[in-house]
Amino acid sequence: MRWPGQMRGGCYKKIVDPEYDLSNEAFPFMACANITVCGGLRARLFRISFSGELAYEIAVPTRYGDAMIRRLMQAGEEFDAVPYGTEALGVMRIEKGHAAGNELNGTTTALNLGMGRMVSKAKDSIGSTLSERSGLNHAEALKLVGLRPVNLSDPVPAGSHLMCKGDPVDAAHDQGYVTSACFSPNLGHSIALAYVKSGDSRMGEILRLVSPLTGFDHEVEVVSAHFIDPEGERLRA
Amino acid sequence: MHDLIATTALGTSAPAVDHHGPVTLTEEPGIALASVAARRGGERTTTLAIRRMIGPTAPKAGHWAGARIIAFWTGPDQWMLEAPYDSEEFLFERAIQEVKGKASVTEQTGAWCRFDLRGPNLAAIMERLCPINMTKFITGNATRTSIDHLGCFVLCRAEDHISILGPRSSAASLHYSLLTAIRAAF
Repeated sequence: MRWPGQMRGGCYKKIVDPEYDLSNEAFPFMACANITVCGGLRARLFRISFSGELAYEIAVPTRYGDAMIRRLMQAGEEFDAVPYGTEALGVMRIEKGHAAGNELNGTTTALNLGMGRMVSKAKDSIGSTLSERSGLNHAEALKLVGLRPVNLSDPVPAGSHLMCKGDPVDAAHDQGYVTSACFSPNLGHSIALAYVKSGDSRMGEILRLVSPLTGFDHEVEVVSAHFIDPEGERLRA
Repeated sequence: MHDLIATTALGTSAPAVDHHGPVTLTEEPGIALASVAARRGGERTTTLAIRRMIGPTAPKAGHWAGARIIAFWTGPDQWMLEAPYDSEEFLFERAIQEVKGKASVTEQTGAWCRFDLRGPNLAAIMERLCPINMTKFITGNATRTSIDHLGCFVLCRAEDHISILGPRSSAASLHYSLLTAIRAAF
């Protein structure tokens, strides 16, 4: 229905028609509006960022999608704009700690993501009843955390499982699993997002990251899932 | 007035036209689409709104109706509106006003592609593509079907004129399927 393209920084001023106030005060993080671009084409602008930076998404009617991206690249030329694909986007969102499909895997709730307080218990909502099931709310519930290899040259393979040091490597002692992993160009080493039992209260703990099928067995440190800009200052700039 | 140039579903500035034997296959980018689904308790208001927009009564299952603006049935108390894009780009806004909050209206213009078949014995093409019973599919009929795994709507506009609407992002695949069937049939 729409063709969205992600914009960055000041080049939006060359695209968005001048009557719209897109200052930080008038159009803060998470704002959205119907606007016009390029001299009158209807569009929707969203100030939203999956990559964790000052960013926008712009949606135009599908038939103008090709023209829009070409105009965006033209407008961004003086700002050294470059197109980037979903692989780069995936790395940035892991660095930022933004949950995606790997974390929203059909077995987890807001509680597991560390967002349990955002779901009101006083009001009903879609999924509220199911999220109250005892199996999803026990004391050792999985919580989303970050993992950093103790030896920074080690990889952190996605799908690997976590064990306490000294425990046998078996399902009964499983502490959790890696959901998303990448090499972080910003940090210079591999990082991962993972669900760990009571993970939010285990910051700094050293665990074994294992993959018995491949013989992988290295130590990782439980850290915040937000490796870059944890206070969200870039998003709200 | 903006200066951006629109492209068709097949990615060009001009719609594709293919001739093979007596049959012509044309890409039809100049349509606006809006889906209308009655909300609970809004069924009567919605059918009256559809009638105001298209002229005739809202079509029943398996049918389309109208002239410049048409509606085709897509499900219980659900229709798709279609109109010329140039004059009705904001078809969805008109529908929103007409249904007065009693139906959900969604602009569908950019989500679909449309290809029209014109010529004799179109059944010979369609029976290679989908399970529609072409012996009973006559002018005024509209149905949902699957063509090469793509969910499509098929409308019989006249004995020698059929429209196929499919997902816009699969336009090239659908176009290829239609051309292949045409060449097999003729």
